[in-house]
Amino acid sequence: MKKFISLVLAAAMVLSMTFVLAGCGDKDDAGADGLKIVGVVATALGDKSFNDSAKEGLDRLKDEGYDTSIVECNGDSGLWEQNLRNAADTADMVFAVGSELNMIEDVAKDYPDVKFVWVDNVSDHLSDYDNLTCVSYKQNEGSYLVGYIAGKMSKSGVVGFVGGADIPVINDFYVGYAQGAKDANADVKVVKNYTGDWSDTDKGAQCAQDLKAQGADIIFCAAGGSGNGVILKAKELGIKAIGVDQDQRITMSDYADEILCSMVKNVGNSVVDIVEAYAKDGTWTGGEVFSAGMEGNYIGVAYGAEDQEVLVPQDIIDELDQKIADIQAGKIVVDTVL
Amino acid sequence: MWDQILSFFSIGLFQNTIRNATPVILAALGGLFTEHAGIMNIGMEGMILTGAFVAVVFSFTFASAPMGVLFAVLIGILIGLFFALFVVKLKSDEFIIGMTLNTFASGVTVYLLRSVFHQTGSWVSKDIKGLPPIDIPIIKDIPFIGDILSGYSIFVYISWLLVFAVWIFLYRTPYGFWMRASGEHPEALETAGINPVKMKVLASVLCGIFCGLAGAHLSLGYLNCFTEGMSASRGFIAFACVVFGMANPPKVFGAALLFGFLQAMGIRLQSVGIPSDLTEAVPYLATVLMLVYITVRGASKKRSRAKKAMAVEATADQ
Repeated sequence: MKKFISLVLAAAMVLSMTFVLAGCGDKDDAGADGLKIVGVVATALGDKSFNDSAKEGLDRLKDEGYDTSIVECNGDSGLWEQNLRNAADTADMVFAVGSELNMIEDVAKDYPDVKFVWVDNVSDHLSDYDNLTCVSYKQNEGSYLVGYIAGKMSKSGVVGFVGGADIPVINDFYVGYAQGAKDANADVKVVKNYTGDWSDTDKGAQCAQDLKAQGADIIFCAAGGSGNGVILKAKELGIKAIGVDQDQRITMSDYADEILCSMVKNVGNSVVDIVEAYAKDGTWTGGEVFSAGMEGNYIGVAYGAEDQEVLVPQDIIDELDQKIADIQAGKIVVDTVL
Repeated sequence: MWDQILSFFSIGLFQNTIRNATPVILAALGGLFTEHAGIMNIGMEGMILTGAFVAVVFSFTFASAPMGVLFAVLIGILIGLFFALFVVKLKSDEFIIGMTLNTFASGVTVYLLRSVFHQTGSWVSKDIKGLPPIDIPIIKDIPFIGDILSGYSIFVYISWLLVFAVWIFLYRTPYGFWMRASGEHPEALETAGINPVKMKVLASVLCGIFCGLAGAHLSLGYLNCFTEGMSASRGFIAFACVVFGMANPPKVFGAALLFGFLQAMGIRLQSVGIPSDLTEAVPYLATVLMLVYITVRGASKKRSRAKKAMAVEATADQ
């Protein structure tokens, strides 16, 4: 009898868990005429950068009357394909948020009537699928700009870079950053390491400490939530951080004094623009890469909210405007690994 | 060459070693009690996570780190009692209850974080008060050693003292003796007039308290924030350390330090150009090697003991 009671109680706990999880991924019924859009996030919301920027875009669409919802996979690779298929079962358009979701082609093949958008990576046989489009960001150009700031402002002559994983998208940040820093100051040394994790803040803090030991006084963190550890640890180490994806001086306003600026990779803007172009004019770039750069405000540098003191000197910002113009005019070609 | 090797063993490497090891030490010391009491406790992961969450919640509410720690300990006692209720009283499977505890903790902390405190991912706020770092007088002025040994939150030093305290408790007090007997020979303990169930419950509650401390240290000892799933397998590592150290406090302490060192080295190795995919595997690779070593040594000991016994028998026969 006692065993039975404990079994029942244990079962109740497990069941309540399932409800909690189900509650997070609730899908509403499709609206009468609105487009139903589901975002599938490979890792988890709450990174205050990349994923949250995508969510912000979907939230904006929801305010405009679209039927949007978001599903998190919490980094569980076993859930990726399953959640993409589940999303495709009910939605008109599926956003696959995360460069890891490379099974998108298989899913797109099985759901020809559903539009798929893969954010942050380009699939191998993209041109074979007219219901799939891939969004590729020119993070190398944005990283060039913050690298330039870091190179100009570094007192030690060493600037650091913390990446989430040794993968092409993240290395694209790195090469741009390194090039920008060298352009600002030819003698600058760029050091880097990777957290190997997208959410463990402690890993980010340890990486920052390691780079500081190598002399870095400004560190650019392109590691999602684990990169936030760099920002949290910055004051103690006496360094400055550069945020990523969102304006982190706003999303982590308690730590704004430790953040020089942020390289904005506005995933939200690209999500909104793709959906609106399709819904309003029927424009759909199937089988093609949607290249999101500084035109259209997808990539840029943010210095914080209006009421915050700007930490980057005005003359560097002026120089940066010139660099932006040069990049757009093709006078400066930023390296890329993609 | 020497310069490179010396610069590799930087202060940061040792600081990160202690940083990685401390929550594991605290949790592993808790796991010792249940291990000695004959309970296989894999629920430490969930206990740490809950402790970390509760510590942040109450540190935020009362704007005081000690209140956070106090409530982390209280919730540790509750979870310990809960664990004991199922495993000891109701005699259900300890593995299942442990897993349930872990899954439940990871779900409920995320749920409360998002629905009650309206934060996703991580909870970062200046109002979460952390434990202040402590500078040890005299030692802090010694170059190199001072930087490595001084300037941590009080829990780091408490964890070192607790290693001795737990050893004394287990091997030099009657309670420790009874606790070990409750795992090895509960019948003998019962004959001696001590209730083994009580000792097992005590072990479980002590484990809850230690894991609560480990959690509080994790969230308030360094960065003063809570991140979803922030225990990041530390409970399982602690369990591995208990097994490695054969549930002997100083040995477990050594195992935890070794693990912390290997993890810190993983990040450090990147700076000499070793790919990060490989360096991440270092601690786990070392775990496997250690496991093999312990098993092989255990087997050879057994063999030599059997040989001796045979030799004794042979002489007796003559």
